[in-house]
Amino acid sequence: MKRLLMLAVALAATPLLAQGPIAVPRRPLPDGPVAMETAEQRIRVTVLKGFAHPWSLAFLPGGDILVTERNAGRLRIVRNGVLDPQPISGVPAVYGAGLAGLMEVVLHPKFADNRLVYLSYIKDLGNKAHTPVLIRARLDGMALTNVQQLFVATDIFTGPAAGSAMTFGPDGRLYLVVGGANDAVAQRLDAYSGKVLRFNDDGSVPPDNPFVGRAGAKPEIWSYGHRNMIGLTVHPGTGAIWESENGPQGGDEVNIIRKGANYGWPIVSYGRTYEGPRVSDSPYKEGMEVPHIVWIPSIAASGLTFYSGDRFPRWKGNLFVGGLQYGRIANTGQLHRVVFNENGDEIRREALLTDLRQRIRNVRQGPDGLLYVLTDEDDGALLKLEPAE
Amino acid sequence: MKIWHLLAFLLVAAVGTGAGSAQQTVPFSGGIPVAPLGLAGRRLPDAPMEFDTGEGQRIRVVVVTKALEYPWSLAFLPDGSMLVTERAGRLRIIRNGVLDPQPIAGAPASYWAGESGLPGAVHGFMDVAVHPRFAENRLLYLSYTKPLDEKRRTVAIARGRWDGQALTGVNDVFVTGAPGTTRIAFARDGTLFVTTTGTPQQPNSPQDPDSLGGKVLRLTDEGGVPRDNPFVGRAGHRPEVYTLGHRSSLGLAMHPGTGEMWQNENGPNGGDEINILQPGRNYGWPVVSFGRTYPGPWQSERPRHEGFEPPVAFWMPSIAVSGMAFYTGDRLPKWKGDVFVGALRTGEIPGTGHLERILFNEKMQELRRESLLTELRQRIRDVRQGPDGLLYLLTDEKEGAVLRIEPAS
Repeated sequence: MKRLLMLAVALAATPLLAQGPIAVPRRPLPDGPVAMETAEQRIRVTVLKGFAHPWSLAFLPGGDILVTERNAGRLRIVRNGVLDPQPISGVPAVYGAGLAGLMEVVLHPKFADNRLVYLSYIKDLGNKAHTPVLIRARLDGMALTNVQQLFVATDIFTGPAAGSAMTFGPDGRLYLVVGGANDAVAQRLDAYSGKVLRFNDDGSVPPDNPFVGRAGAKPEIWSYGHRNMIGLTVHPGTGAIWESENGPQGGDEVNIIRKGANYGWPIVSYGRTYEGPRVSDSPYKEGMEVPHIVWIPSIAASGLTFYSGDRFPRWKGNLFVGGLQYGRIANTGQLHRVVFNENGDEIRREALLTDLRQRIRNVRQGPDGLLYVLTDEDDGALLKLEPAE
Repeated sequence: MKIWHLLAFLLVAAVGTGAGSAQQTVPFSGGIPVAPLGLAGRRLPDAPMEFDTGEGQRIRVVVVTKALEYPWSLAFLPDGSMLVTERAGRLRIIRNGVLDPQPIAGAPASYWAGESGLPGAVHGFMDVAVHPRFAENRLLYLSYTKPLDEKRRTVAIARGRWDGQALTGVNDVFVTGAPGTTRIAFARDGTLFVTTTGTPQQPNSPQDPDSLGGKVLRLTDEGGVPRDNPFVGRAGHRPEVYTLGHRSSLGLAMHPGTGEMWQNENGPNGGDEINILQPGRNYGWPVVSFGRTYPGPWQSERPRHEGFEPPVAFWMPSIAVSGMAFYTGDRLPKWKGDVFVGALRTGEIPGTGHLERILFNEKMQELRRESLLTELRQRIRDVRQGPDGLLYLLTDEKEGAVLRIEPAS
């Protein structure tokens, strides 16, 4: 009888093979500014097109914007709202397949003095193997010079590319995450995959890193138990490093990164595997960190930033997190806004830019107090969010 | 209206608690963050609307009527006409797509208060269900807030006979003794499932087996206790209780394959759940939850569910789950077997109601999830499959509507 019931259920469920495309139709991104209503703030979105899968951006002291293009491995520059057709020269060749390629760009905290930029990218090792690399270079006009390789993750990746976001902490150290940890490698301290790493600005290992001197452990590791497709930012008030990562199906997280802490993947997760079963019976285990923010279903969380400017007074202190797609359905990208109470606990969450149907790859605050957003599309764009009257 | 809203917001903002320097000022009222204005409401158009959805299922949404006020639930009679409750205590009927302007006579008197979706709201009429042997006995069931005296009220289940025009012989088959919201649904074995909520005065009642608060009850169609209920004969346990540990249940639907009853409930700030009800089991509220409290801290110190039944699906952030249905029809073939759940608002932001669709594998494990009809900006209170194999929705709005989802050609 039970078997009969199971059969009935199986028949009732949608036959997966008969599915059409798991996507809502794409929408072309408008050229002109788009006015949008949001829950607490009317906004105008200005569109700058001409990027192929942009991944990250950084603001130069004069207001120019550096933008990385993932698969093409190009570093672009935007001046006064105009994209220079020439990319900046000197970027090493990248492994640019799928989600791999040139990723993060950050400036040295003393960039105005030393003109140093840091890039993370995926390097081709041949035979479809690839690995994340960290470089440092001087930005001289339209060229990178004195390119130095500071770090190579010795893990050999043949699977999905390891998301490699970076940020400088208030301690002057450089934090780099290495994703790509779809399995238990995230728990192994002798591997880089699924870790947040911490470096001095010259790529050396700070002596106060938590696993320095531990046999079999990589000394660069700052925290572990992470999964993939990760963003990093610094909380403007506390100085803490905040990290975003993708769960599989459900269980995207934002974590507050603590020295030496274990964030649980793949032992505990709020999510399910892509096939359906839960990753773990419980999302919590003693000794593992609880995520600060969780998404069920997944939004395919990407870059994140706190808004600390004055142009959007109702957004002050809010966390913005990019989302590539919602609930495993394509063309449902969005920008999420999370509102906190005075203690940093979440009280509200809003999905923005949903009508655009763009994969949102990154979000940063500009020196002008506005928000800048990258869309991860073949015809990707830099969006500028301004308050609208 | 808009100016009034703005004024109210400014007033609240002005008296709101001062927050830290790096944080926008979020006003609190009674320990709960005051919701922002949210997205401005949109009036439903008269003409049908078409939308693309994620499985390649293009749909047309038809407004059957928008002459309802805060409709709460709907049920179909064998002749295809549709019964709809309104929270202000009216039972309405739609025949051949036309809303009868007169409410159905003979329904019980109810108590309602406040505005739907705001703290303090009390619903008059809530659910309506058709007896499984309606064709023989013409019995309808109605869950509602029954006034007891000037101050006291309780959720009750009334039953009456439908004579084609009015309810006759209405009487209460069950009185829960507590206020709150409730869904009712008949199971395959003919028993009646009734959800109850706890009260602010007794926040731990969902864990108290001797209380009817925060439970799912299982009753006979006469309102009595089925002999095979899990706690029958156990001291300190109410025999009506089927499951414990629920917060605010707003959806109840029988799985068409297994016959199990699926229930959904609202978490506070995150942690909305769908549960599969198993006799005698405890679903954890308020001891465990995946959500946060409205002011921000986690509801449970650790996001654990050990010792309690885990939800089969949950939401972070909350979508304010409401009515729920399994789609078993043929008219929307890409959606066959999917679960549909109404959403009143997403992430504590007004104007973000929608319809949520969940696709499960054959083991009833989730595979993906889609937000539908977000453009309409309507609070979706209920979703049901009609005898025509189409989906019907209710919008919890002052200009409340019945929407029908059809395949678009």
